[in-house]
Amino acid sequence: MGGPEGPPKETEDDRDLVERARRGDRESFGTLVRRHQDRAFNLAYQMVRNREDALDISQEAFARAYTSLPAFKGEASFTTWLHRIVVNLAIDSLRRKQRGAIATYDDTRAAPEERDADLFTPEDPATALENRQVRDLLARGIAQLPPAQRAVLVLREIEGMSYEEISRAVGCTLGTVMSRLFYARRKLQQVLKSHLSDLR
Amino acid sequence: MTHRLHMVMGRGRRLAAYAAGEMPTVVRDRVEADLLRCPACRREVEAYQQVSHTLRTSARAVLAPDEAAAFWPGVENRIRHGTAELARAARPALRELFWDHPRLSLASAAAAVILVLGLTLSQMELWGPTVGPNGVEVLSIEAGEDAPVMVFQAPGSKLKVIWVFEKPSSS
Amino acid sequence: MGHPQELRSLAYSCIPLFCILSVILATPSVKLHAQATVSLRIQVIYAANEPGGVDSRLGGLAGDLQKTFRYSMYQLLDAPQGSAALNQAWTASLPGDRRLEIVPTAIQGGQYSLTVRVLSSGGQAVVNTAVRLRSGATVLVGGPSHQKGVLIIAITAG
Repeated sequence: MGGPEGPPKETEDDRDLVERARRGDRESFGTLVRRHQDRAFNLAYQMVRNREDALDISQEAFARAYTSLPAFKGEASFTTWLHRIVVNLAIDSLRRKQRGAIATYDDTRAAPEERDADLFTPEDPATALENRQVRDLLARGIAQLPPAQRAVLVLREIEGMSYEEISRAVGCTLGTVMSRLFYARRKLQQVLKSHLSDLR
Repeated sequence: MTHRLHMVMGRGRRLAAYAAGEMPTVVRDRVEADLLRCPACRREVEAYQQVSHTLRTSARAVLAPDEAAAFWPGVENRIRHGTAELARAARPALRELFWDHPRLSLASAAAAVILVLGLTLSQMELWGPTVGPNGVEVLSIEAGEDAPVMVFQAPGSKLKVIWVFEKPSSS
Repeated sequence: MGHPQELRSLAYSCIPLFCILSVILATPSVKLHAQATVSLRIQVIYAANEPGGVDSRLGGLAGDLQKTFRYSMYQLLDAPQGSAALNQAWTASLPGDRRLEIVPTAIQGGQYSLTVRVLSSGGQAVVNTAVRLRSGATVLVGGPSHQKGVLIIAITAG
């Protein structure tokens, strides 16, 4: 399921682990990694829609976070800081691979979790099919968003972060976050609006 | 059909904010009353809500068991050997920002002309003290290849820091 | 509003007009500041979690570094100084075959606008930033790897 409950708050455990990692306890950082690796991977995947790249990006983000540990004294939470690195690396990856191109979403290459989601929906086949079509449309729409808009959309709608957290994670003002989010939602809403009209 | 909402500046943003539940109660009540009389607006709100609902209930990407088990060792390997395999990134550039937002480039070109005219014709010191209390203002940043950048200032410190997350070097 | 392609064409067609206008109109401003220079003081610091403590040559900066970061060692590697004229590059070498390049782009009212770049051995910009400093203020650029830690470059203008 997505993250409607919002991102988990940084626990005191996280702060302790960061502190121990700063003092050279690499295993403490390993604990942090294992705790947050799924979220980092999912965030990277939602950005780049490719498992191999998402795995690469999320591991690289942790490696860079580790080497920069001494630079931070807790003015941002570990997850915000990590999100910042993941998002930036993902945006770099997208710009490298998709500059000027419109990414296409290949239904036959859907990730296992996207295909399996249909198996767990309780609706009737017609509803499940419609839901699948909506997801496909949205996936195509997301792939066409500029990387910066995609980042705030993913952080807000999928990770459930607040505007303030997003602005810290991507390094822009609240106004810019809200503006990018509006344009991203509007793009996807326009994609769906015609689909919904067709059903009436 | 024309309707009050259609003629209000920022109608799209109002509907998007309403659909996301990000509107003060007083304004929300007014929007709801307007929606009763505007089927097109209702369809737009419905589409916004479906976007959010679908995104939030879509399955999350998860690491396969073998990927999860190998994740931390992979991170450790990168830390030790600096063998990140990410391809060389294109340097994010201001040019890209303007390319993605043509209105922005138009507005920037016009603003730049006006600024040059104003500064040169007045020949006055137009700057007041514009830097922050620590005397430093970061005007722009471009990250290098494959190296995210963050600007921060630690609590209690008067130093503003521009920090580059370089790839770990071989150790 | 118009098609994005049309808007781009219109936007880019403004660029030649802007360039011509700015050359004609900004020339008096350039002449006004042609002789202006800015003094630069750089401290190249090696920070790591290694024994060694804080280099006493860092002076007042030491306390701020310790408030900002959590390294156990801060060593002053170099302290180049100089003056840079407006729109002219001033460079200093950095460890690891890197180079620091600073270009003052505006000097007005006791404030200095600088473009700061850290260049790798291949000439690529590791970071390219524009800052405005009040006279005597210091900004830090950090993160490039060095031995077992990082480089932190303290830049003070004026």
